[in-house]
Amino acid sequence: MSRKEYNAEVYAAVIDGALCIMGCIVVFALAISAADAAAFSSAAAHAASRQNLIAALNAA
Amino acid sequence: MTTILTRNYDTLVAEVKAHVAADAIIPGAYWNPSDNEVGGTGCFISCLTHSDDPAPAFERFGLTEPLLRIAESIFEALPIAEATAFFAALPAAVACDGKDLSRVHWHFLAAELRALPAQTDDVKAAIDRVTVGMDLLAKGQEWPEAAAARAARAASSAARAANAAYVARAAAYAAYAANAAADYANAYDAIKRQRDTLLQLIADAPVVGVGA
Repeated sequence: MSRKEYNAEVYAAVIDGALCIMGCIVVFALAISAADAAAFSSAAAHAASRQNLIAALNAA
Repeated sequence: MTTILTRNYDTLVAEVKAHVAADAIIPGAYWNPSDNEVGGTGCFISCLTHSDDPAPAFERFGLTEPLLRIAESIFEALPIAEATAFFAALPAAVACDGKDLSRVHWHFLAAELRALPAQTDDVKAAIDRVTVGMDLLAKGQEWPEAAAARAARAASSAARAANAAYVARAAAYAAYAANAAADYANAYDAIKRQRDTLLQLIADAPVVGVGA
């Protein structure tokens, strides 16, 4: 597998995961417990972290 | 990440109008072919793409995948008449070609973090770190991956600690159950707020080109 093909596969996996998190967090936002509030913010930060990884892969 | 601006606005207006007129907007399922005027029925994303894949809506109209995933979640939580109205309101929010929607989801997440109810100091500190990052991304600035990952871990730890606190105090269960019931009653208001927030953010997104 070439570096380009590897990056394409990682890219697909990462963006799928980030989008899944983003889709779910709208549901989290309805909850009012401290645990869910913190989990929601954690999911948002994870999505941001993954987006940066995607950008890095695209630039590679 | 490549930025694609909104495009084919007139087609978006026509297609949304046709799907609404055909009563094709059906929450709870991806595209289901039929012999109606638009060839089938389906949810928010599938009425734009005739599939379960949001990517064609990005390529044809410049509607980003995160934006569509969030829209789909809101859409699925609304009663059918309001879900249809939400879908029908999309073109008016987009308004034109050449609009950059690439940061709408970060604005939305920042707004939702700020809409969370008051928390303990530890949880609030963890959430505030993420809100700062969302604000950076919403402004088109960098939030380094390492900083985002640290904020995610801190928030995750706060979630575990808060959850453990509930487990340790049986009385909290009763309080949480009462709060959860109240939250369920307020869920409809929250979804309507999210719908309005998303449409407003789409409307307010900057027009930066011709959308070619």
